[in-house]
Amino acid sequence: MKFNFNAIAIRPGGRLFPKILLVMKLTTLIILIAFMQVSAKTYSQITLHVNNKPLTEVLETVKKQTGYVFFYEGHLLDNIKVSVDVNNVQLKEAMDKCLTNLPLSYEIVKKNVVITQKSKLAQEPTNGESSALIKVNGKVTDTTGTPLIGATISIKGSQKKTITNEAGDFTISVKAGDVLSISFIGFKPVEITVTEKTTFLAIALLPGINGLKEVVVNTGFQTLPAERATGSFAIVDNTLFNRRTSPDVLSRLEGVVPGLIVNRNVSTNNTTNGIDISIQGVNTLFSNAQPLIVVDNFPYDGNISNINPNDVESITILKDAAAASIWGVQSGNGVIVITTKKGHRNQALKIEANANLTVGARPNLFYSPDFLDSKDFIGVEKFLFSKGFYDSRLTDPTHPVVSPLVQLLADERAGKITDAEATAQINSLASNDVRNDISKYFYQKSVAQQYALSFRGGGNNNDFNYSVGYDNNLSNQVGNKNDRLTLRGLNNFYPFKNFQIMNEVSYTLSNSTNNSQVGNLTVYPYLQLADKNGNALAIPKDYNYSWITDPVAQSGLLNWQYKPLEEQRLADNTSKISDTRIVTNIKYVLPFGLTASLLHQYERSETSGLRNDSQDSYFARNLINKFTNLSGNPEYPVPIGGILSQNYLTLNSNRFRGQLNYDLNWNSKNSITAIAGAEIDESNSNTIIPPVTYGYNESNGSTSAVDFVTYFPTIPNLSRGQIPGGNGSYYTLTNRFISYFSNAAYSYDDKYILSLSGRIDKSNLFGVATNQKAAPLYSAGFSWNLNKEDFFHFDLIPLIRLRATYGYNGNLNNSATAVTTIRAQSNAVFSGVPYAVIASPGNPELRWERDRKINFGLDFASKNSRVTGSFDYYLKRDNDLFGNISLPPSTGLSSIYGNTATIKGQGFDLVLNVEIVNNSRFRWISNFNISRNLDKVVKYDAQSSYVYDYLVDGAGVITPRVGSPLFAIYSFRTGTLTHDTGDPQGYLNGKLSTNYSAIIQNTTIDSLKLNGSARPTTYGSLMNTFFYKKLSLSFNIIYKLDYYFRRTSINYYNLFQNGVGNSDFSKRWQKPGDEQFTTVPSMPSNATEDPNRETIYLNSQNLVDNGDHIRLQDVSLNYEFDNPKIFKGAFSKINLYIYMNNVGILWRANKDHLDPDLYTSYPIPRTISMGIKTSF
Amino acid sequence: MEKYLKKTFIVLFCTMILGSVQSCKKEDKFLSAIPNNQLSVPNTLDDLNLMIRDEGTFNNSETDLSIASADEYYPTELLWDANDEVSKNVYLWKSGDVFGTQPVSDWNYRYSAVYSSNTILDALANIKIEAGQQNEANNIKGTALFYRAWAFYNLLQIFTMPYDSTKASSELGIPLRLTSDFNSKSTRANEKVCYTQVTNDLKLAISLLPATSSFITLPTKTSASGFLARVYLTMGDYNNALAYSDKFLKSFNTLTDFNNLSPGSYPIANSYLAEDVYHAAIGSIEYSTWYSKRNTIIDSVLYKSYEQNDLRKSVYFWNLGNGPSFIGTFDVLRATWFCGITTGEIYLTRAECYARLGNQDAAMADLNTLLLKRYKTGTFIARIATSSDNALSQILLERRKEMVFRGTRWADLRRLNLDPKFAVTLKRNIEGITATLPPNDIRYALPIPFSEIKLSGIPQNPR
Repeated sequence: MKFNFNAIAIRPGGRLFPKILLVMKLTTLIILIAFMQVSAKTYSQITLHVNNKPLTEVLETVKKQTGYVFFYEGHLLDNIKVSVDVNNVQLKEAMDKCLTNLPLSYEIVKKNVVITQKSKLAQEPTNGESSALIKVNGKVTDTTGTPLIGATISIKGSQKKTITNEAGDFTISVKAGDVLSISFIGFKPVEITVTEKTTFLAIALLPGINGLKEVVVNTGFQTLPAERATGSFAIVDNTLFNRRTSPDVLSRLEGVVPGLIVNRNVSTNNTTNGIDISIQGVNTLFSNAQPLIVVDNFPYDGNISNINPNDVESITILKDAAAASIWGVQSGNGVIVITTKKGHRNQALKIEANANLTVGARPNLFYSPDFLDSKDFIGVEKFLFSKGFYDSRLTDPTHPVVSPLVQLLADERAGKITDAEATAQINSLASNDVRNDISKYFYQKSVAQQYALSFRGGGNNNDFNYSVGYDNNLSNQVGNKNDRLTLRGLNNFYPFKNFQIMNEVSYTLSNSTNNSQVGNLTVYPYLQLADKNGNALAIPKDYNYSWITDPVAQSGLLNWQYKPLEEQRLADNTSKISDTRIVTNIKYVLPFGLTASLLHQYERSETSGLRNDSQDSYFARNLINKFTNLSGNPEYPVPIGGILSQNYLTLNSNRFRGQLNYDLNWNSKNSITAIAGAEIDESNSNTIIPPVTYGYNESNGSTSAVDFVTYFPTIPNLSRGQIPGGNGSYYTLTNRFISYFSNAAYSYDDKYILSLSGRIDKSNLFGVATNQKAAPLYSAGFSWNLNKEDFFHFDLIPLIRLRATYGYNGNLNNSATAVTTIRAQSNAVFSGVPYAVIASPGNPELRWERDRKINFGLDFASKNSRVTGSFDYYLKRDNDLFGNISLPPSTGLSSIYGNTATIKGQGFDLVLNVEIVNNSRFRWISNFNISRNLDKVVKYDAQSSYVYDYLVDGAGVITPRVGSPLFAIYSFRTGTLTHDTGDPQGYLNGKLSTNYSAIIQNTTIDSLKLNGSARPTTYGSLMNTFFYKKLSLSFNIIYKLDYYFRRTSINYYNLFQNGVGNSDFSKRWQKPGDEQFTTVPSMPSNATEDPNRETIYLNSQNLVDNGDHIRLQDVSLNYEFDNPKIFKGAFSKINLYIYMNNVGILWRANKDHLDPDLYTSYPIPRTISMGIKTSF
Repeated sequence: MEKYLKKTFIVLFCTMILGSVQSCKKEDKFLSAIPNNQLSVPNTLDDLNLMIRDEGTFNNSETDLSIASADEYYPTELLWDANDEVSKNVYLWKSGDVFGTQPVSDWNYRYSAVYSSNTILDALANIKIEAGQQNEANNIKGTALFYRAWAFYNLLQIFTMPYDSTKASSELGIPLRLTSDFNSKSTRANEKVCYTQVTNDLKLAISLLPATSSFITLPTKTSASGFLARVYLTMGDYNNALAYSDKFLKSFNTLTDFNNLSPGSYPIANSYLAEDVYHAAIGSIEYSTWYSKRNTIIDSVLYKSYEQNDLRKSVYFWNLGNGPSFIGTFDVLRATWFCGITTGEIYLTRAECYARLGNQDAAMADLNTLLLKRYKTGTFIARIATSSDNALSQILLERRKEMVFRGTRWADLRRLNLDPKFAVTLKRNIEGITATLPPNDIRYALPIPFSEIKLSGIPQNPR
């Protein structure tokens, strides 16, 4: 265990820091002492001094002192008050004292105490009928196979009963024909008639309305029973979480959390977690739009992909202000609280193992419409050639690239090859389809392996959870793979009464290799990447192929050919992440209902990346050649050898929290739960990108120095350039926070609950002046358990709860400052010296973004919980959002970044869980949720008047426009193609026109067509689960509705200049009259493309499709063996599961057969997983 | 043990809570850490010394509107077809609106340099200058004043009518922004005030700047004198232009001998030319002037005016098939258009002033000194003038030939048009479209960008 104190104690002058240092050192000391104390003593003695207190409270105290858990029927102990006075006694004695003179009996079963009504005939009758008695053994479990301890087995019409032991087993003697009633609180009772043949009964109880596993929400500061919470929470429990198989945590939330959507139609390049999540819409324009991820008590500073999903117990999603505002300025996008697995005191050792294998299909490269087949493509090239389109390229002294076909045509024209040879070669090219080669050589089936093992348990004064996980993923791109090892150990010690020390250490090591060449492949459709024997073939890249293969022109240069398959073999691009997290939590129960706790989290993450472009790689050869000086003997400013690029990122964070919890109950009707505390955080990230190393020789590690300053002449385009990579980058980012928070809930008679929360954040981001104006982010909430009212007698709906909350969340933006700052730079344009630029103009008026949210909620359940659900309606108004404030350019700034914008939104989440069929053999549960979210900009100062700004990827980029949705798709209104030439027509001054530049000039934002939102405004899922005996089958359908996307089509500019086609080419206008059937414009007959014509067509209303679709996301099949009779019964449970993900689209609104979720060029391939999970 | 631990815990807990609450000052100190170590608040001379070396803002931020508007070139049809609407408008000196709602870099970038200069000047005013730092502070101040004057002067050439001393107090100038406070309002001062600001700033700069600097991108007394000579020439103040060009040449008169450059090579040299005294370049080429070197063709009259032995003909131009195009930029390392100050320019300026002030011999002597370095060794025959006017004509022609594609031609056209003897009507003819620009036309002042008019409410130039 190693703490890094440097990070937080860097200001030796301040007195605060030595104190923190001291605190942390002492914390370490205490942990060490705790380790020594563990097995020395036990503290299960009980001391009680109570007078006329509710029995439930007394038992709670006993539970706290011993760790024993009490089980009893719902209202059994209501209104019972006891007086007990014992000192350091054993449990049995304490229980006897507690239950003296009460009609209750108890039984201690392992570490549980089951309290039942005293039966007059508790003993088996011995009155002579024993000959007819059958001895029946049985086991009672829940549907997941977990034994139910203390379930009651009674014979109907008799007083005889028994309870299950710690393994869920029971034995009872009955007569044939007796009806056994098996009941357990929180579960639905079952009745079974005993026959003469009955010897063993395996009974799985179905959960009832008040599940024993009380639903709790974890806010990261406290855990609350869901029924005591006023805010809007969503919980993903362990079963639901593990329904999916994945190496990461966050993707398992897709389609199971109401209001949460995973945005698949955007680039995830700028999200730190590699996945773009929105919870009830987006509450910012340009600041961070991703939810805060909390692991147990603290935000997770590293990459969330470091967390092993097998370590996760459950996840709570905090949606509204009452739920999330305790997280202050980090809560504006919602909060995802990940609760990890823990042991329990007095729990027998439990070992769990999980292994699975996921195989994914090879991507379907033939899906993308952005491809023109070889025959058509050759036709286009021949046409362009005949118009002289390539003539300037062919004679250009800078030797730009031309396609193999153009080269053939040029050679034919120059008489270098005969017409017959040319025709033969062209015909052979026409039969190629490069996608076959790419698919064969650059893609593969993905294979992901996952293994996890955990140990959990607890003694009298400790509990623990240790786990190890290993993942190995082979990407579907050849050359890419990664693996991850996770280790985690968590210990809780209870060295003295009322004292708890928790210590957790987790470590992740992950290695990635990214050698795929897919990103570098821009190819003509008829290229071949390998010959028949699989040998790499060269393809044109960057320069004219006949020039780079001309021995005269190339003398003195290295081979300049590019063979992608060879590059794939040579690539050596790796990265490594290690992450260590150490959490310490000390809790002390004080008198008067107070509990004080100190929490500390230290996290260190190191990322390093290494890219080695060996001397043989195209990257190295190209740079060496480009800078070669051929006047005289060749000189090599870029030395011959490999090129090594590195980067290092180190992140250190310390988070320290002191918190006081207060719980008070009085008159058995009033209860107050409150917390208050303060937190001090610091995180440092250090980035080091050394200058690129040239002349690297792998065998001996030698390198050569290069001149990064001189502008060398370059080949072949005669311009001058510096050798790239000379500017290393070294910087440290420091975020510091001091926060004060409080949260209180008052509950009266479990009917009315009032909650309040507030938090003040101060940070170093904006400067001190802003902090002094810090305003609290707060919330207030009220909930009303209507069904607990005396006047409520509606048996069909035994649960109705109403909730209402109001409050503010906040959001951060660290790209503006209150004072003018400058940024040091190296390598000035002309003289190469260090210099400084103005990084941001000072703006003393900065403040946090404030997101106001009002939420109304309703929770309900029908009789026997056949139908349960909730409905939340919210209104939001996000103020002071960062955006550009326009300034006259004569200020030297066209805009400044400041608090300027406001957006408004509203929406709802509806959840319905219906148990459609429920009998002892077959059960069918349907979970339906639907969310709607609408938001629009209501204030924005620097609205662009430039139409191009609105014709962007609307799902990923916000171009704010007052009155429009945040994410919007705009298009040009267009008419039919012209009759004579097949040109697209736009509107100029209300009339159809082909004057494209004038149309673009004169089209205002208001005259563009606003198609609608670019992100789904209605979305949700429908999951059906079937249980048949030990088999369960579930499938989840996800739908996204009410949004639009812009599809691609033929772009003649791109086709002519870059060789990128589109299958719409075959639908183009070819002769007058075609305009009645097609909207695809003609190919320009004079071979000159007009970019404005392309702009009008590619952004025309015809190319905007409705994005609505319904997708079968996944199917999961699970079979469970209880106490399988293998390996001498070593396993208590074995689960076998099969899981299929990304199954396919069931329905889509667009007629073009496109997947509207698609961001890359092919739909996410289907995967199949098989796995086994066991426990011992 | 138990007691000890409990006590420790309580002490720790109270320390944590009270420690963080007890003092706002400590809190402020903790929170005053700089979020990014690459950022700093400019409050030392070292910071400002780094800021004046921001060559991207000060030396490389001009655009090519002045070149694009002048009469040195024409675009090929290929380039013309690829041009956007604004480039076409600029080329054709379109009446009325030119830029639409588009940002105009010539305006924005120069005001960005003004803002940076003002930030330096404002920060300098708040720094306590220690003994021994005065020279350094003077250098920073002089440099910032020079940069600001450079930006104002260039803005005046594009966005105001030519300077006529008889009308300058009534002609609209540009917003003279003299502080970094972006909340202060922009208004257009008259031309007289604007030019006075420029000349006064430069005079102050000359008094503050050092005689030499380590980089040619930093101004010196010499280069500031050269620039002030350029400003006075533009204002038609020949006495002052003579005085400052003379001051320049007395301290520095090195010319680059074009015989030492190899003709036809591109770029023309491998290191900065000896006569490049203040280095600045057009960092952003936005209009028709260099879409590709092959597609901007030099005006044939201009090209033909070079004699066969004039080395500039082969050093400045090459022909890639479409006609002669210009490669003779003095920005040799990066090969973008040079727009700084050279000894050659100052010789021409002094020569012109001598000629205009009647000193024909001195004028021709300066011209011959320059041309000797431009002709093949042994071929140059010293020019003779028949009169001062004849000298002036020769000098103006050589000025045009010497300073091709530096953006100075536009300023020269503007001032020369005021004299009917030298006034010219410019003509464009491309793909059947023709346009003319008569002398002193209101289109010699380009429109101020849309967003400036909209946001600051200053009056637009009539077009």
